[in-house]
This record gives sequence, C-alpha cells and structure tokens, in this order.
Amino acid sequence: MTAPALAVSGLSVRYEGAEQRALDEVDFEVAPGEILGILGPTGAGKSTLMQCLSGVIPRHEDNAGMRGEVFVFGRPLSEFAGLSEITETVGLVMQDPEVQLVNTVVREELVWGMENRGTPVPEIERRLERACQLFDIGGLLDRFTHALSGGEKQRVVVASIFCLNPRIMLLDEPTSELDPAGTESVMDAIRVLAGEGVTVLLVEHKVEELAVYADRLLVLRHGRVEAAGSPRDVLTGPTAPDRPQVLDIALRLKERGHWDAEVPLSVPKAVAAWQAMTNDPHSDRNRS
Amino acid sequence: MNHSENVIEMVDVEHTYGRGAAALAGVDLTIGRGEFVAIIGRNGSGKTTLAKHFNGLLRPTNPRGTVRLHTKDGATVDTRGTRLHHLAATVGYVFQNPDRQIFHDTCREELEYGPRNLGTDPAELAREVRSSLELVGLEGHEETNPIHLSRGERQRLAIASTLIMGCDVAVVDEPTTGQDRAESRKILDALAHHHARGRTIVIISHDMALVAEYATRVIAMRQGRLLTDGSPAEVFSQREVIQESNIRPPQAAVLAAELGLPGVLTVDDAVRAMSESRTPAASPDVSPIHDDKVH
Repeated sequence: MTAPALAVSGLSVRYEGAEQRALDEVDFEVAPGEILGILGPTGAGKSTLMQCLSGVIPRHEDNAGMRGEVFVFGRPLSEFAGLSEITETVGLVMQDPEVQLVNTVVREELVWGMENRGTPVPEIERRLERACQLFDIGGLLDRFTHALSGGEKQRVVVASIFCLNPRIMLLDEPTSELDPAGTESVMDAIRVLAGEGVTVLLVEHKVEELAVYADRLLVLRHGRVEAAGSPRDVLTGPTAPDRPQVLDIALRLKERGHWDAEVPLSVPKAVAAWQAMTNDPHSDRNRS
Repeated sequence: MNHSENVIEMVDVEHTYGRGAAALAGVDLTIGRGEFVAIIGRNGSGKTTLAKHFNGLLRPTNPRGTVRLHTKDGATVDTRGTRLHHLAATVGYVFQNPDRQIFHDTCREELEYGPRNLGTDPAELAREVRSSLELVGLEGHEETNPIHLSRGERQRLAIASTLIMGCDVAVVDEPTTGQDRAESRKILDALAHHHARGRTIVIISHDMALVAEYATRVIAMRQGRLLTDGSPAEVFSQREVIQESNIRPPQAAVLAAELGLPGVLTVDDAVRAMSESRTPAASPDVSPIHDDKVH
C-alpha cells in the first residue's frame, strides 16, 4: 500500500486562554489524488486544521498549543526544515484571499512564487498559461490586485498556489465569493488537478457542490471528527450540517413511502430516479 | 402587495467607473415600500453598483439618470442633490464585510453610536439597543466585544446598527457569504423579522435557496441591465433567461421543472408536489397537476 498523501494522528490544538480545544484528537488519512471535502459549522475547527496541515501551526502561531503529528507522504511535518520546505509539497489557500495577495498586478502575483523558487522561465510561462486556462483568469493578468472583485481575488489566489505545483492543495472556502457558475468552474479545475494526482482538501459550506465533486467527506464539530465517509453516507447521516436539496427531498419522500430507489446527490440523478420509479409498469401507482 | 407606494425610483440610470465599460447600462427600476427584494446575477453583472445607487453611495454618471427616494414624511429627494447622511436616514446600506463598519468595543456602543448622534433620549436608546439585539438574535450581547462574535453574528450586528437608525429600507450586500446553513438562516430570519415590521429589505445574494424562500421579488441582472424582474416563481421558471445568464435556481425548483411540476420553489414545495403526483386523490383543493407531463 502506498503512503497516504496526508495522515493526521492524534491532532489537538488549544489556543492560549481558550477553555475548549479547537481540535480534539483528530485522526484521518487522505489518499494521493483524492478530493476530501471538509464541512462543519462555523467554529468547528476547520481553518485551524488547515493551518496545522500547512505547518502554519505551530510554526507561525505561537499562541496555539499543538499535540499530535501530521505526516506528508509518510514524513512528519515537524521534521521539515521550515515553511518554505513544506510549501514545496503543500499549498494553502486561506479563507480571506486578501491576506495572501502581496503583489500589485495579477501577473506578478502568479509569477512571484515561481521566480522565488528559481523555476526556469519556460516552465513559468507554461504554468502561467495553464493557470489562466484552468481558472479563467487570462483577462485579469494586467489588472491591479487591489481592484479585483472578491470572486476574482479568490480565483487569482487559487491559481497562484497552483503555479507553485504543490502535490497537496489545502483550500479553505475558495469559492465563498464566487457565483454558482464561477464556483462550478473552480470545482471543475480542482477535479482536473485531482485527476492528475494532486491531493485536495476542500473546506466548503456549499454542500451541493461537495456532494458531486468530493470523493470523501469529513464533518468536524467542536474540534472532533464527527463523521467521515462517502458523500452519500455522510450527507444521508444524522450529523450532516446541511444537505443538497434533492437529497433532502428524496429522504423526506422516502419517509412517506414515495421514494424507493437509491437517494440522489444531484438533480440529474434525482430526475432519472423519479422517472424510473413513476414509469415502473409493475407499480400499482403507475398513472399512465 | 401594494406597489403603488414606492420608496425608490430609478430612471435611465447609467454608471461608468473611470474610463471602463458601463457597470450600469440604463436601468429603470421602482421598489415598493414593504417589498423583500433579492438582486441576483453573476459576479460583475452590476448588482452592487445598482444597490449603491439606492442611497447615494454612487450617483448616476449620465446626466439624464435619476434616483429618487420617497421618505416617510412624504418628501421626495433626488440622490444627486442630497447629502449622504440625509439619504441614509431613508436607506441604510450594510456592506458585504461587516468588519468594515464595526468599530466599537461593545455591541451596545456600536448600536448607540448612530442614534446618539441624532440626539436620541438615553432611556429610549437603551430600550432600542435591547430590542435591536433581540430582533437579530443577539439578545444579551450588550457588553460583548464584537471581536468575540462569529463573522455571522457580526453580520447581524451590522444589520442591527444600520436598522436602529430608523431607515425604511435596508440594503444588505451578500449577507451570507462564507456562512454555514444554520447561520445563513439566522441572518435571513433577522431580516425577515424587520420585513414583517414594515421595513423594505433589499439583498444581493448568490444563494438561490434562500432567495426562493425569503424574497417576494427577484431582480436578475446581466451586464449592467435588468434581465428579468418578478416573483421568485416567475423568475426561476424562465429557463432560457436564467440559463443564458448562468443563474442557478434552487435544486428543488430545477428538479420540479424537470418533472413538469409547476410552482415549486422550496424543498417543502417539492415534497408536497411530488407526493401529490403519486397520490393525486389526497389533494382535491390544489390546482391539478398536468398528468400528461408526468412520465
């Protein structure tokens, strides 16, 4: 068996002065190329977890007491030389894109990290082009970063992390300011990257997108892993903080005896299932 | 609803930032007192630019464009010739990021700041602060430092601090960005409370499930123009229009439309309509569902 891309073992964090642990004995693994969706109510510890996985905690947060260990491709994060070595493998997109935009022009923002790394120019150009294509930001290259809309900033930040070629991407609500179509296009890009072997951890409230795009879901609550499994199992379960509307509809119809197929996670699946059920020639409810 | 009493009237409004393309390309729009309006559309379609015209944060850049507000006392003011603080007494604006407008150390001081500047009596002010906090679900938080509230709670505090000024209309820009479902509902419930007490509410939102559930009117924008305008049921049933503009209606509405079940906006509606389509005898009092469309 190959080593998981990420393994978290007994991870606990308590912020200075806080009574509760922000994370409490968290354990899980993520396979290479997997998209893991992380959901949970506000304050569940999702962002704290992302900061631990990227080494920001404990290295840059001195008021956070951390126990446990994070393994990146089998190697403990505590053995990495510093954040710069961690970022060669792990890229973090933080919740607020503004804190991550450091250059004045979008093109510089995208190229900056690669130049710092000494990436050869042809490779920089290749990745820049790919970033524009994946995240639909070709038209923004010469814009000032401060003048971008919230959604545009988010796409630029995700693209700038992509340019660093990380094998693991940690995305903390990367689409919160994007409209539904923009959200879908970022999700499509994430799926393409996962198909190429990039491991993605995605903190997201948009459960209808998670249901379709994530391979597996993890629910955090009060700093603990409350549920983990396939999107269907987790979202159907009692601890789901939210459900796609079609799943909700099917579960409620099931209670009333009007749904006897597998419950759907998307509109097309719901339509197909309903039509199959109501078309069944052996059903005495058939109305044709 | 009585649409004859309008609170905002826009005629032929254009707005261009610098030398760029027109963010608003000729908008005529009337908003009636007591409406709960949702403005929807893609990023960059002009939603925020439109909303900022409602209280003079922006003014039309074309000479012909006018925005008029009808105040409670029966006066009509043109936003172009009126100072911002005067307009804000009629239309309050809550920014997308609450942290841009919260600046006191306690919720009480945050709420007192505006009314105190208007000379409100201290005893009455204490009462107003209490009821304002209650209306947005933050009762008992008078002495809490807003830093210790969650982002969603700070959003609700910003809404309260705008509405405590007594404005007739609250314009709230993307109130639920980055919020979980439970918190999003609390924010919309707070707005619904104020709406039930006669306030006019305008929100900008990408969350179509919430729009379908709470708004009485939906205005869809595309490239600086009004694309369509109507009840949530009317707007979400215009399939070509919404597809063209990349608007995604709530899943419940899309599912029901695919199944030929009319008038469905919410999960509750869908469960009812789909149950009835399998047991038609149970619902003699609802309009018949077109049997020929149920495959």
